[in-house]
Amino acid sequence: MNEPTVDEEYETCIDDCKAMDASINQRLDAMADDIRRITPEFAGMVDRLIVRLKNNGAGAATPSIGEPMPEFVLPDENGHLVSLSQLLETSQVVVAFHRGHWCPYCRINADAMAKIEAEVKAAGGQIVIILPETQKFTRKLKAEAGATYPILTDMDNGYALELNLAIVIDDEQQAYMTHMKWEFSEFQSNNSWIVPIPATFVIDQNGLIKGRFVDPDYRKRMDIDDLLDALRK
Amino acid sequence: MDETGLALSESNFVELHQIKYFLALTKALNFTRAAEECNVSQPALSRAISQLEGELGAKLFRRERNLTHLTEFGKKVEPELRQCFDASLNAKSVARDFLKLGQAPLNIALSRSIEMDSLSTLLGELAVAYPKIEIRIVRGAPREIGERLKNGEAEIGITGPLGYDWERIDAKKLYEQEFGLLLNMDNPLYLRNEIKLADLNHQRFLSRPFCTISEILVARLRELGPQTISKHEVPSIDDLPGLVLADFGIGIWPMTRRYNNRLSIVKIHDFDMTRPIYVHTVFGRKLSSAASAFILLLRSRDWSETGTYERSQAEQHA
Repeated sequence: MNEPTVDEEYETCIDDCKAMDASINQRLDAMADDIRRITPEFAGMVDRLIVRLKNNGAGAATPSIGEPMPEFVLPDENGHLVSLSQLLETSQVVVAFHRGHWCPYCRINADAMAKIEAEVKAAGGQIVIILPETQKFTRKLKAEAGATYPILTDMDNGYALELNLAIVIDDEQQAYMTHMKWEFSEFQSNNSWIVPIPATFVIDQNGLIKGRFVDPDYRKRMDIDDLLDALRK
Repeated sequence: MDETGLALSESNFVELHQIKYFLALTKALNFTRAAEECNVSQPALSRAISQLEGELGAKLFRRERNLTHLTEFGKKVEPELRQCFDASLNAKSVARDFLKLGQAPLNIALSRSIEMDSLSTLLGELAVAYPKIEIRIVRGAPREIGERLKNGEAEIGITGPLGYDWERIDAKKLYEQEFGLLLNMDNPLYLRNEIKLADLNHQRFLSRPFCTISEILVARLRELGPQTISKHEVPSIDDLPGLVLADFGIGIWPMTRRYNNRLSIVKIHDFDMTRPIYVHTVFGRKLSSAASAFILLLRSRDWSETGTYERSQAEQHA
């Protein structure tokens, strides 16, 4: 038998983490441990990135609880324009920014969100995921997650920047992504190394934010129970 | 864990206002003037630039007594940050004007070889988003499209490389357009498994005027040696099949376009008949909301789906 490639090892771990009987953040922690084991040469990188993001200066941040969510009109995976206000006419909305269809944490998170679609609906909500990638890749993530929720394209991270959620990937991270053969220029159809900070917003039908999770540590996502609690509030 | 994961006042991502100040400073190259343009105090602008440098982990500007210069790193990230900033402004304008009436007409200049079919669903989507918008489409050769963009007659140009030297043209790639040779089935080349450049000696080629692919092909063939190659131009692409059928020559044909069922399309083994298609705009000219939305639809689309035209069984037996 041949040794499995890094890619194959990642895939196995992603599948295992999706199947775990545990909270979303426990699954993501398990994935982080696996990544440290499989690609130890990049282990310190993530910690350095997170420290950089957390320690740096101060400034106006993303909209807070009680504030209005800025309107968006973005194409879904079939090229139909979807607007936040149209979605809000039907129900409350959960908006989740993900980094890309390639990101193991986003894949596990998208899978977990697809599994609770019925509960979200029962709680009076609907989910949309926003990615900075073109339809070829939004479709890929959607099919993999088995989701019915739309996945929207935020071209060049324009909407993410409006919410102050954009970060520039540093040289060390670029080297890691190149090592993993993640072709950013193809995924995003541009020449930049910008991604959103993963963030989840729960928005009531008046367009006001009632639940919010933003963490520059991209391995952490809003807990599923917190998400459902926010919808039911 | 608390709700936000950390105290957000302590966090710092790239922020919209920082990029705005950064772009103003790249233009003014002077902190005082850039601050005036942005309507903020000079210390506030300086602070935002330092924060951005902290976030990016390197200096963007070299500050000298009288002059401020972009560093190499600053030059490298400037286009990325500008693109993201423009995207943010465009996303805002699309969100603001969505479903609103009273939009300015949208003028699009389009290469003759791009089929309307490949854009029809996008135009349909645009018509839903801007219910009363007037869309005007003109066809033209790349150079003409460049002219139209420059003089403001077109807001968007969709075509291959413009071959038009003007530094303010912005080109974003959409996909690779593939061409083939349109053959009469009586042509001896039709029976070959593989066609090489060397097999194309003594052939007559038919193309539209300004067809870059055929120009490159013919030039390449002439480089190969003493060959008798001729090239004929017909004004409309739809004139080609009739002439190919009459054995007048070989057509240069986009792979995605339908063709007559008595003809066949082949590729050349050792010659790449593709060209990139871009959406062109003019740097620094404010896009209308509808133009922004259309570009969003064009760029986010999965173009790999618009594959080669394949004749259905029914058509083949017709």
